[in-house]
Amino acid sequence: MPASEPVSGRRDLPRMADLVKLSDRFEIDPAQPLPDFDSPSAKAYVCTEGSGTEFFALVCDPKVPLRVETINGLKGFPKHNLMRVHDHGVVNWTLSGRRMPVLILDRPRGTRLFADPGQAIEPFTDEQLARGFLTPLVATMREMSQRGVTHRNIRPDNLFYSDPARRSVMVGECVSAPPGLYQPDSCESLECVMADRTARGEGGVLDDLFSVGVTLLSLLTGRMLPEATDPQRMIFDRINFGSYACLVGNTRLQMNMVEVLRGLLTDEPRERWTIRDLELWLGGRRLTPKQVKLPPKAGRPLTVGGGTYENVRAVAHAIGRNWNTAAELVRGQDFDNWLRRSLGDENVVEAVNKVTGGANGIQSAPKEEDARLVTRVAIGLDPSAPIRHKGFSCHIDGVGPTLAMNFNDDATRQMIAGFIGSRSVGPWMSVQTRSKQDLLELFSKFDKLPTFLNSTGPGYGIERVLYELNEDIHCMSSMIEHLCVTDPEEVVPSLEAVAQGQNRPPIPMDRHLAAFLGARSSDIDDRLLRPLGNSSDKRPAIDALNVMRLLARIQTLSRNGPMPGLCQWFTELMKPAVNGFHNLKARAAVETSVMKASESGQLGEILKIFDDQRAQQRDQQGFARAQQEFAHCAVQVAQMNLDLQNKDSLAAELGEQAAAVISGVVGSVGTTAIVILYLV
Amino acid sequence: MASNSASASSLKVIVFTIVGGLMLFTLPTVLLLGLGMLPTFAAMMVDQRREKYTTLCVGCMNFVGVLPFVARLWSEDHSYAKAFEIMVDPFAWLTMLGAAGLGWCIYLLAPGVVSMGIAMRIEQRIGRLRRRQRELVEEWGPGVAGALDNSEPLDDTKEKGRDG
Repeated sequence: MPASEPVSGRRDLPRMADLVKLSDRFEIDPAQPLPDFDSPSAKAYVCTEGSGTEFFALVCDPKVPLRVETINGLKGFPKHNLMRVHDHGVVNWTLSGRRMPVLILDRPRGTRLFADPGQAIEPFTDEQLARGFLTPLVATMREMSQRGVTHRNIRPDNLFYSDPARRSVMVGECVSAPPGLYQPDSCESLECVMADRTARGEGGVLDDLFSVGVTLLSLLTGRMLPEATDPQRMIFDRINFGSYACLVGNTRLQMNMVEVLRGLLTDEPRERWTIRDLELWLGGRRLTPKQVKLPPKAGRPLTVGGGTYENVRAVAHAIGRNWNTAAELVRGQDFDNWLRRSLGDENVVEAVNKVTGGANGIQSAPKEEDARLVTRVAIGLDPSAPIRHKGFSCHIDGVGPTLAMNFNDDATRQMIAGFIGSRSVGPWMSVQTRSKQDLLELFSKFDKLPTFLNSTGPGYGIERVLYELNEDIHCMSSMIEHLCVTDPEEVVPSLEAVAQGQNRPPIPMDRHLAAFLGARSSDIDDRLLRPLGNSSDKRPAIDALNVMRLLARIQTLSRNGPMPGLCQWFTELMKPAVNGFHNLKARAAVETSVMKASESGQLGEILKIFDDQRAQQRDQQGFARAQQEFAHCAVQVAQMNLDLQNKDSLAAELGEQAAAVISGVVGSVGTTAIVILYLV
Repeated sequence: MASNSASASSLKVIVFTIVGGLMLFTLPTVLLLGLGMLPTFAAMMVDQRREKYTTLCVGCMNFVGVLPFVARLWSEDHSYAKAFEIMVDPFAWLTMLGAAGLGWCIYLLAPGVVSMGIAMRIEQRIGRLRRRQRELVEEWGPGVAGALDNSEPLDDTKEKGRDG
């Protein structure tokens, strides 16, 4: 996500009445909210631009990941009836006292169709539906389909009149939240609704077409479909009786509308209407409405978790929901008989055999892998459904948003760690009939995740999984979360901001920051990340040194100028390492060098000083020698003190000898002198 | 072995015979020496050590004190009368005993002087070692002392005084 304003160290957020600028082009007025255009996780504000075109700004909840890939995919989108994104970025937002992601969107000239879910509107006529809703929508969907993006947010309360005369309808934005997150269950195809809400995934154009069908139904009736009181019961009903029957119910419809609704609300994706079918229908083609094809029933029902189920999709869904008791069932002969004889679908048997290794594979699976076995059986039974593991039901591209939105929830983290550890994506891929390039990319990504998850040090673990699966979310580190940093190049300026703030954490690194850098920067590899968690190295300030090495690399790569605050912070953190120099002259010299390097604002300059291993080695060796010499001196001093105490006994012996010598010499000299005196 | 001890015994007999013969012909000298060297004989009596340093000290000086009077006896008149004349002279006794006393003084004072010398030398060496230790601490910090850090405080003024 491009940041429109540089990361600012001080929280110099604008005053209440100040306009907030994005990209030096759009001016957002925090004092003028537009509640009519709010999205479930974003607030709308007046936004102006010099050209006079009408825009509004959506200030998004930073906890909800944006669909940046979709935003990029929709760049330069022609003016159909879609609320287009003109710009996006991060701004300092007064009202929340932090930086917030912002979207600049087309401002509809009309109002929202359904201001609240209980509101009833005048039912649309065929003419209104065809010309005012479906025709522009089909053009929009064709364009989106050609760009390889899905909307996944088509629902009655995300429609706006695009003109004050209410002649045409435009579809609201689809990028402020993960796909399908705020879709009512009724607006989602069975494949999507069976997944957890946050894990519905990007889906495809057929899922959008299903949503178009449900929206069409609401416009025909003038009311939104009520939410089911028991969503799971509703899912099983839709599986057993078909979504069309469950959603349309007894609503009286014209025959031409029955045709389009049956086409769009078909649960079998291969039989669902495509954009082409819709275009032909709008062009005047009329066919006899096809009967909704219900899933084939097995010869006898199968009991799962106390309920009886007659078709394979219902059994798969029930097994996924009753995963803790289903292992016993799938290991039993009854299940095998049901699968091979009662169901009578060779494709399903083949898929189950493929993912489980057949009856032998099921029987030989160890008890502790029951959950994995159940997951695989469910995949084999219903390959197009979400993967279900220990109660977590997801499309693989929905795992990332689920983790991002619930990262602070222990249960979710464990659930997703368990899902990744189960390595269920491979078996799931092996039974997919369609093969999309992005799925293959995701598969290769999932293949690497267990390795990250099994590494416990900073830069790995579940945090790394978070950033690997969400390429566009901002760094969740508590130090810089409020700054909404999405690019590694912004990390060092953000930390400079933290360094200049009041409440510095103990060290400018944590698990989130390390994982963020590891996932987003190809230049940050194991050689820089592994040392962060190496507790065996006991050198002083080694943690700070390893962090500095990592951040110095980022600073060098991003070339975003001197960072004196951060350097000063590291200067303080590295004091133990400076004090680690035993030689006081060398220590003073290092201190001076560090101060000088710190003033340059380049972490690399400080790093050079502490990376000089030879100087440290010389110091260590010199210190060892000095210690030895000191100890030797001390031993000698002690010995001499002992001699000093015993000097009298030593002196007595020596003194007597000396006295004897002196007397001898004096005697000899005296004798000689006397003899000479008397002889002469 | 037996032949060695036999020859030593015979050598002793020869030496005693010669010395005894000489003493027989120089009796006044023997008398003078015998009386004048009495302090030496006394020192020999009290000297318990095998090396006989006391005897050596006192003896040497005592002999120097007696020798002028023996020389006078030989040069003037080697007779008992002369010997007795010398021996009744208080100055002669003062000289002989004084010299022996000087020997005692040397013997008694030397250990003290030597002790002072030793102490001075040791303290000089300790001073040099402590100065080196202080240099090491100044260069490498107090950590260089390690476990010995609490050995003895390095008192600069004391050390400087010692070093002179």
